[in-house]
Amino acid sequence: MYIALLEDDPDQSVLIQSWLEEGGHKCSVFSSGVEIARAIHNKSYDVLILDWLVPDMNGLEVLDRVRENLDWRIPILFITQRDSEGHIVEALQHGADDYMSKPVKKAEMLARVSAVSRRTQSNNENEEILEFSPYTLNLASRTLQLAGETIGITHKEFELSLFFFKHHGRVLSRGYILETVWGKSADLNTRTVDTHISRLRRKLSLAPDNGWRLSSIYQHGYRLEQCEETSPDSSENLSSNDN
Amino acid sequence: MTQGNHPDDVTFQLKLDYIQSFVEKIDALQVLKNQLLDSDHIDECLNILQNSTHKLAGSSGAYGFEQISSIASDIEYLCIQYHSDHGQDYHQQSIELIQRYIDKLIMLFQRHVTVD
Repeated sequence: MYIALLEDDPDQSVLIQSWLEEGGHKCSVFSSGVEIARAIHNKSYDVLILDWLVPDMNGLEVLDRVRENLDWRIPILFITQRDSEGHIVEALQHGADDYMSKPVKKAEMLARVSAVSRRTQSNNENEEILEFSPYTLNLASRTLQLAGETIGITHKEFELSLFFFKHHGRVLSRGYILETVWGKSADLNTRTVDTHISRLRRKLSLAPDNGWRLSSIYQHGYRLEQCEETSPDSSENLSSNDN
Repeated sequence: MTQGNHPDDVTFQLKLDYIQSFVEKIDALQVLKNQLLDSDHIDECLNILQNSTHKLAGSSGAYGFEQISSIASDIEYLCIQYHSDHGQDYHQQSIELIQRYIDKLIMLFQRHVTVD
């Protein structure tokens, strides 16, 4: 997972970062609230770890901003002062998914990161058939149907479709898509993502007529959105497919 | 993490780096302890001490130095308590108590510098 860590003490951030990397995650460290708040809008993270006490905007303010502005419920793990019941209650009331008291411990931190991430993921992890009407994704046969008709797509296109449907409603950066669908060591550039998405849009007919829209987010990436009932002449729907 | 390094090596190296910073941390604590004698800047000095010990409590505990973490946490608590009991006034007895705790903390740091 790609984790953003807010911690202004380098002694602690370097250690936590090494623990997370050791646990197979990727971690970006931010030492101020403003810095992390800006980064969240430009990159796609899977989990946020926020320290309570940091310069400028504190962890709680960052938490509020994230919950107000981010269009999906990113898992947030809060780090509070030892025995600070008031901070724990406040953080949970403001939308944190879990908390840890300082000093943090490696095994506990890795377990809690996995737990918050698991809890916020969809409940369909173990299902073989995923329904995103009118689309049906069969995980066993790696096939995709639109209104009962099988669409001819490659294995990679299936992976990309699955990734978008599982994260629908969430803005996904090109770098994140590339890294997740093609793998960390993929020797490719983000243009590959654009090419595949353009093809996918066409093959799946991802348009408001089918209840879904795959929008380009300027200079950032893409978002698959479920559409409300729309009128056929909506100009917004036409422009959103421009890449 | 550098490719090829065993995770334990990385953690071990980080702990060594942390221990190496003890000398610097001792110096900073000595300076703060002396500044507590300056009654005109007591508020500012206690704020800095509170912030430093907050970080020390977190980092030392994470690196496995439980005793250091505990004393640093006590000092942080004493600073908070001082503010609520005395505000910006100078209270000799409370300051002396904080100074004694700083001495304890310095002693613990020194022990690790010598042993490790």
